[in-house]
Amino acid sequence: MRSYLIYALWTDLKRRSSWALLLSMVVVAVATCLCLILFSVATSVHNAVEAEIIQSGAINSMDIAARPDREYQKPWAAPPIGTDDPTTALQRLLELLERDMGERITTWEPSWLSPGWAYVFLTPPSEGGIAVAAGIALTSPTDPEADRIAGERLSGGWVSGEEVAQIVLPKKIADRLWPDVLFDGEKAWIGITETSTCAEVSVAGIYRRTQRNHCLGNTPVAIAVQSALEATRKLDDGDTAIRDETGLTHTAGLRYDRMRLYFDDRKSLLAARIVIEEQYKFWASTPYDDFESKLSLATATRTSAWVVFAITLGSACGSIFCTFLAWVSRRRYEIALLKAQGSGNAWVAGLYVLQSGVAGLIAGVAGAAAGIQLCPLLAAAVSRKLEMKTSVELVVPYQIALSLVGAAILVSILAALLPARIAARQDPWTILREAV
Amino acid sequence: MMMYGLRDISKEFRNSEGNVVARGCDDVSLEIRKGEFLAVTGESGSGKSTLLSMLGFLATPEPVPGKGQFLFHVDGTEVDLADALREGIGSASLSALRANHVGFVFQNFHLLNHLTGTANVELGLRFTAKGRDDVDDPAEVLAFLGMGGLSGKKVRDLSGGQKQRISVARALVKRPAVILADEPTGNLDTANKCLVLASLLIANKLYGATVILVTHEIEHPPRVADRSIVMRDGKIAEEKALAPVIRREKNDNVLSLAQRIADDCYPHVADQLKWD
Repeated sequence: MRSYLIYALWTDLKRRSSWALLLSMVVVAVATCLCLILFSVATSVHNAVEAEIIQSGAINSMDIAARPDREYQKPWAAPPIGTDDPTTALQRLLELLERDMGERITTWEPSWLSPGWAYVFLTPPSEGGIAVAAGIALTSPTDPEADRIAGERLSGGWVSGEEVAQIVLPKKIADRLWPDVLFDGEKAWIGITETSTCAEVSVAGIYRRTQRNHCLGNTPVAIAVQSALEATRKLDDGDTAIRDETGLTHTAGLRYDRMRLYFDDRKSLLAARIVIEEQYKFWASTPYDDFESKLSLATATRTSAWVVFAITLGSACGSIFCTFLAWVSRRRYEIALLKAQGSGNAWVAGLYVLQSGVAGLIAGVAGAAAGIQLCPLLAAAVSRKLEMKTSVELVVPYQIALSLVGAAILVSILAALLPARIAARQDPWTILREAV
Repeated sequence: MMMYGLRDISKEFRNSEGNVVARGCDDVSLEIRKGEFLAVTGESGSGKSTLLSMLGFLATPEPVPGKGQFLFHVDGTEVDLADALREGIGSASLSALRANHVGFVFQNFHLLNHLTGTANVELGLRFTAKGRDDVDDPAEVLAFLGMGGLSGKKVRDLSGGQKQRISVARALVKRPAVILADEPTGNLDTANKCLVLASLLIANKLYGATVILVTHEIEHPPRVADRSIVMRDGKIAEEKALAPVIRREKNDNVLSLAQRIADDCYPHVADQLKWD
């Protein structure tokens, strides 16, 4: 019977319609190759950018970059808390802080939290314990009335002091966490407030009472704070226009010359900056812009790899379907003959599914092999193009390659299922009589 | 011993709207003995091939017989197809019956032209039940039918008669209980007609296979068949027991038997025939 299978494959391939199958196989191979290259290069670039971030000193050994969890290597991303429950989120955040500091943090009031999401922010105690969280929340452990008044000044100021919880960190811990921030008093305050719009517990920034912020989520807040603090430096140069724009006053003794900004990944950085530009009339930037753009490119490339793969595979699927439909039509007589010899419907259907699966396997393996060969060349080219300081070390995602080959086989088989079913349902006697 | 027992079996053909457009068989009742050589004759459209398709389990009676019977005795067991149809028999069961017990010989050979003769004969064994040890070696069957020297040739390079003998070999190789031959000599010259007929006769007499031969050639049944039926309008119009003139002698091979068939059926050209 092996001779029949070879015969069937060979005669099918010799037919004119086999060019359609060969074309489909080429498309599948190209899709696999392209996806693998894009994915490999994107992953390699991502790794290289992260290495650069660490090397740049943007983060230090005490910082989250030192953690094995990859998410921590992105300094402006909030640590993933991984829970919907703010109380749990807060608890986990505290655990992380404790792990970093090596000391137990004891003072906090989770009972003040209501269900939803939580922001974390910090205010130096020298400001009288008042934190202004960019229009999202404000808190004063000593003066709720001050909270209310400050909240009304915020755009949208809709959060009352009752919805705010706070963590009180020992100053020595706060100093270690934020070594470049000068805390005058004995304690640093972390306020936590629930909100329905934030997906993660995030440290938004360090805020001052007199700061005018805008409520659009963490990203614009952080940029606003960053920008505003940049402006305070300019105040030292006597730029009163900026002071008027931002409403900031520079207070002696408070040094905000280094900040950690934690952006909400869901927010568009560009959208945030546009808002900031509208509000403050300047284009906000962060020290991580370059990294961010490269990482965004890597992420977008990975996404587009899947999209490209899906689209091309979909096209190939249609082509395979049409080819097999034509084959079934031309092979009616042979199918009838096989059925007269006693082949079951499943065997006939299996023959086409097998052919299609083999085609998918060949195309997928060829594409993956080509992709693996081309990856190093492209990784080097991308490295040059992106002007990476760290050389891009190639990561060939073999698991992805295997998955792509599997997907190629699966899609090929799926494409042949209906033609196979049609073949299996042929009435042999009618066909054999027609052939007389 | 009875091989087939049909009672009130019909086959209707319907159009896409479900209306009956023709009746291939109309309440046919027929018994066929094991090892019998039955000839079925009749005009075109009389229902011969339809009857053959049902006997070979390629088509099923329609409507499903209410009180009718379609018995098939094989390997000591009795299959009642009508009963099985009433209970919703699956196509796999019919395929298994075809694979193991039925061999077909068609008028226009139905071979795979790009394969060799041996590969085509092997096709007959592909779907038989695993573990069957009573099947023949394809090469031996081909040699027995006088095709040993041509077994490696592609079918497309063979003559019509050779093709038909390969078709007979394909049917014979699995030692089927029944061989259904649908006008197997229709497209052949005289010599090859005799060779094919001789092959069927050997299958019947040597292997004990029941042979059902549908034919238009009136001179063949009296020479080789034990019985003949004439079909008309889907019914069995006549039935006649025959005493076949040609009998297989002990040392007969296909060629010698074919020569005797030619001598009897075609005496005026028998000595001019060329056997390939």
